[in-house]
Amino acid sequence: MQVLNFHLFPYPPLPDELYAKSAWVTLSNAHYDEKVGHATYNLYLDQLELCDQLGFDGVAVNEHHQTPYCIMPSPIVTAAALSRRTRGKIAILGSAFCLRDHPLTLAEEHAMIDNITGGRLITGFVRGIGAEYSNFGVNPTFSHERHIEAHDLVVQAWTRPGPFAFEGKHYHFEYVNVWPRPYQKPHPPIWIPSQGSSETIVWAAHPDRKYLYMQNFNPYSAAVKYLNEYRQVAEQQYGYEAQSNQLGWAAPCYVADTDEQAMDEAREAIEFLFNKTLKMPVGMFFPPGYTSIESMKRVVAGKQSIMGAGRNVENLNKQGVIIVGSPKTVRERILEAHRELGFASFMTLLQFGSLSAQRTEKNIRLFAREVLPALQAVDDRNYEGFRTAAE
Amino acid sequence: MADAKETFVTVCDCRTFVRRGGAGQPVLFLHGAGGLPGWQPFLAQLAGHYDVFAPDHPGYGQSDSPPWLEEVGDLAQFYLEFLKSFDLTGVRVVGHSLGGWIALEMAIRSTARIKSMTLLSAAGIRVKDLGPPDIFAMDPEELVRTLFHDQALIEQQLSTPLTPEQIATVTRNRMTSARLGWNPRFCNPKLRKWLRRIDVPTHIVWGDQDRIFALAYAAELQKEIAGAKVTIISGTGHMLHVEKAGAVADAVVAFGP
Repeated sequence: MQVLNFHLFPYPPLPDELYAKSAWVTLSNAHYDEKVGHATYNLYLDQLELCDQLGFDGVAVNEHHQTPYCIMPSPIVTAAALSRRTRGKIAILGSAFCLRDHPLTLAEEHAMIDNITGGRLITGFVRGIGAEYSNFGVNPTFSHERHIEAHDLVVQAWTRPGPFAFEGKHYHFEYVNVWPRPYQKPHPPIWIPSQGSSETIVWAAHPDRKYLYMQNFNPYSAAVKYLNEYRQVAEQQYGYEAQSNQLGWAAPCYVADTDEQAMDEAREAIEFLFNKTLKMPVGMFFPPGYTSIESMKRVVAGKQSIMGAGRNVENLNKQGVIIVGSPKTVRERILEAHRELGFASFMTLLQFGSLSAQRTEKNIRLFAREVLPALQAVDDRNYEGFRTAAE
Repeated sequence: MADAKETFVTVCDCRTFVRRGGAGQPVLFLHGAGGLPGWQPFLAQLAGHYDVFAPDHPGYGQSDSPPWLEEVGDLAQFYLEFLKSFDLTGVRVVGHSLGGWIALEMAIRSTARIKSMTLLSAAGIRVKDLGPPDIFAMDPEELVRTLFHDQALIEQQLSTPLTPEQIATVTRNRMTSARLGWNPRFCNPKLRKWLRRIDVPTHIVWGDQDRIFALAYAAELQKEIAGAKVTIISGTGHMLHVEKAGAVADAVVAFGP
C-alpha cells in the first residue's frame, strides 16, 4: 500500500462568532492577517516536507476558494514550492478544472510540475464544492457537463499532438497546443476524489479511463459501499477485474501513546474542523443542479438548514470518518480496512483544523515510525478478495 | 372572475402546460422564477377583461425541460414561437420578475405580435450596487420573508407545509431558475443597450417594498424604454400581483384596453 499525507492548509482559528453562519463565501477576508498567513504557509510546507523525509510515498494538496477552511486556492503554488524539496509523489487532489473558464492554464501548470519533478505528479479532477459555484459565479446546473468536458479537453491537450481545435459546448478553442507536454506518458495518473457518487464511479471505472477512485473523509461504511461498487461496476458493466491500484481510501489520523490520550489531544482540533469550518447553509452546500434531485429536495423542504454541526470526536472515530488512537489501534484499523477493501492507496490527514504545530509534528513522527511501515508492507496478498453481493 | 382551462401544447418540441381563461384581446402572462402555482386571483381578474394565456415556462411546473433551454434568450425565442403557434397578434405581454426579463428579451427581438408590455418587478438589467439578494443561499423561510411584504401572508405561507409534489416542483423550478439566472444574477448585461428597440407602449409596475429588485430598478428601466410609464403600488413587496392582486390587475387594465 502506498501512503500519502494530505494537507488542507486551514487558517488558524478566528473568534468563534465569525463561524456563526459559515466559514465559506461570506466570512470576510478583512479578518485575514498576512503575518499569520506567512507563518502558517511556511509551517504547513515544513510539515509536508517532513512527511517526505520520513518515508511517506507522497504528499497531497488540494484547492478551495475564499475560505479560511483552506487557504490554498492554488495547489499548483504549493506543489511548485514542494517540487524541488521533496523526493516522493505530489498529488494535487484535486484541481477544479471545471470552475475555470480556461482549464488549459491548469493543464499547462500540471504539466510543468510533472516536468520539474520528473514525473512525480498525480492529478486529481474535482468539481469543487457547492459553495465554490457561488464564489466563482459558475452555473452549478452545468457543473457535471463542464467537469466532463474540461477533463476531455485537458487529457487531449496532454496526449494529442497539437495544434488542434477543441469544439465543446462549454469550452471552444481554435488552437490547443500545450507546451510543455507532461513528463509521464500518456499523462500523470488521474485520481478522482469523491464524497461517494455512483455516477462518478461509473465514469472513473470506464475501461478508457480506469482512474483511481478515492473515497474521501466519510464514514467507513461509505468506503465499503463505494469501493466495492467500483469493483462491481468494472466486473459487471465493463467486464474487467478492477485492480487494487484503482482504489483509494482517505481518513484523518491522530496517534498518541494511548487511545485516551489520542482522543483528548485530537478532540478540539477535529471538532473545530467539522463543526466550525465545514458548517454551511445547506443551500450553499447543495446549489441547484450541483447534486442529486433528492439532496435538493431536502433544501427546498427546509428539513436540514445547516450542514456540519454538533459532531464529536467519539462519533467521528466510531464511524470511521477519522481514525484516532494508539499506534496499534490506528495500524490495525487501517490494515483491517485494507483486508476488507484492498485499496492500494491510503491518504491520511495528519494536520487538521486547529491542531497545533507541536501536536502535528508529534503525530507525523509517531505515525511515520509506528504505523507507516506496516501499511507500506501490505499488498493484494493481504486482501481477502472481492465478493459480489450474490456470493 | 373567470376560470381557466388547462391544456398541453407542443412548441419547439417542448410539451408545454397552458392555463387559459377569459375572453377578449389576448394577454400572455409570464411567471417569475418561483413558477406559477395555479390560476391565481390576479389572473382571474385579468380574465374578466382579456383572453389570458398563462403557461408554465419550459423547465417549470408541468412543462417539459427541453434540451435547448440554456438561457433566458431561449425562452424569448420560444415565446415568440408560442405566439406564432396560436397565431396571436396584438398581445399584451405581462411579465413578473423573471417573466418580465423574458418579455424584454422578446421585445428587443420582435414586437410584431405584441401590442404592449407590462413589467411587474422585472428582472433583466442590473442597477449598480443594487443587485438582488442571493435567493439560492436562503433557506425557505428566509426566502418567503424576502419575497413578500404582507406579514399575514408571510405567516400563512410559512404555516402551510409543502406537499411532496410541491417540493418536487419547487426543486425543479429552482434548478431551472439557477440555470437561467445564476450568473450574472438574473440579468443579461447585454440587454440594456438594446432596450431602445422597444417600440410598444410599456408599463412598469413596482411594489415600493420590493426587497429583490429595489424601486430604483423601475426608474432605471423607464430611462431606457422610450415613453414607458411607471406605476408604484404601495405597501407591497416583490410578489406584488399576489399581495395586491386587485390593485395590480386594475393597473394593467387601466394601461390600455
